[in-house]
Amino acid sequence: MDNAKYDTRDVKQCCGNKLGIEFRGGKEYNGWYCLDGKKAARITIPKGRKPVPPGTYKSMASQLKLAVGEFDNLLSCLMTRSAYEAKLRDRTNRVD
Amino acid sequence: MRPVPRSAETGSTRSRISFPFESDIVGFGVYTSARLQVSGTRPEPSFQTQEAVIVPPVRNLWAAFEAASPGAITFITKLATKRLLRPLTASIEPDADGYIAKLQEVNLYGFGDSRSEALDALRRDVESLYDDLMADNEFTNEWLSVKAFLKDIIVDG
Repeated sequence: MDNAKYDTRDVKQCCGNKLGIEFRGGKEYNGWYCLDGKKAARITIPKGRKPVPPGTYKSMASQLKLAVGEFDNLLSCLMTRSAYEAKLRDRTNRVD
Repeated sequence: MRPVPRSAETGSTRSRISFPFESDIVGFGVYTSARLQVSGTRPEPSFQTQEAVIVPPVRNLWAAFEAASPGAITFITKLATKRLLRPLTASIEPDADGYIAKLQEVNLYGFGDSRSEALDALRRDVESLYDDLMADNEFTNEWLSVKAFLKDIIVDG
């Protein structure tokens, strides 16, 4: 788990730049990832935590329907947006 | 009112209340065991005395459970700007130098420096999600189910 490498701003930046998630401000940041025009995953990112606490990191991964290792890959640029979308599509279809 | 049987009628040989109260609670990966014992002079049976005998052990058991479990379970009964018709369940556990409160019914969490801050953050997130879901219907089926669930238990104002 690479939580120690990142603070919450890094996570927000990655989710914004890579996944195109638009965050709404407030005491925490909230944003939706849209798949085929429908909101499919919602992530909450607390403000100003350096590094990201492990439980929070796991929860953010789970909100994006990713395992912790996959979330590490997403943040470290190993996972592209299309790779993420393929995983999300698979996991959303399984639930739906 | 139906009379409560006395010990003489039931054949019990106990003249004092002395019942070990042991319970194992398993839920959400949290396990604890508590043994509580209550003793005292048997009161005249009535609704009030029965409640007085039963309620404290339950309270004590809950306190023991909360203290013993690392991921203490708590209930959210209030939100800041909306009303909850049924409580939501949350677990709170330490997370680095703070605490994380996770909702059991929906994949939401709140982080804070203290347990109460984490719970407050979780409450805000519940309301924020509710507002998001009520805005339109452009969600996957999974989120539409969450919407139906929250619509049933949250009332505006």
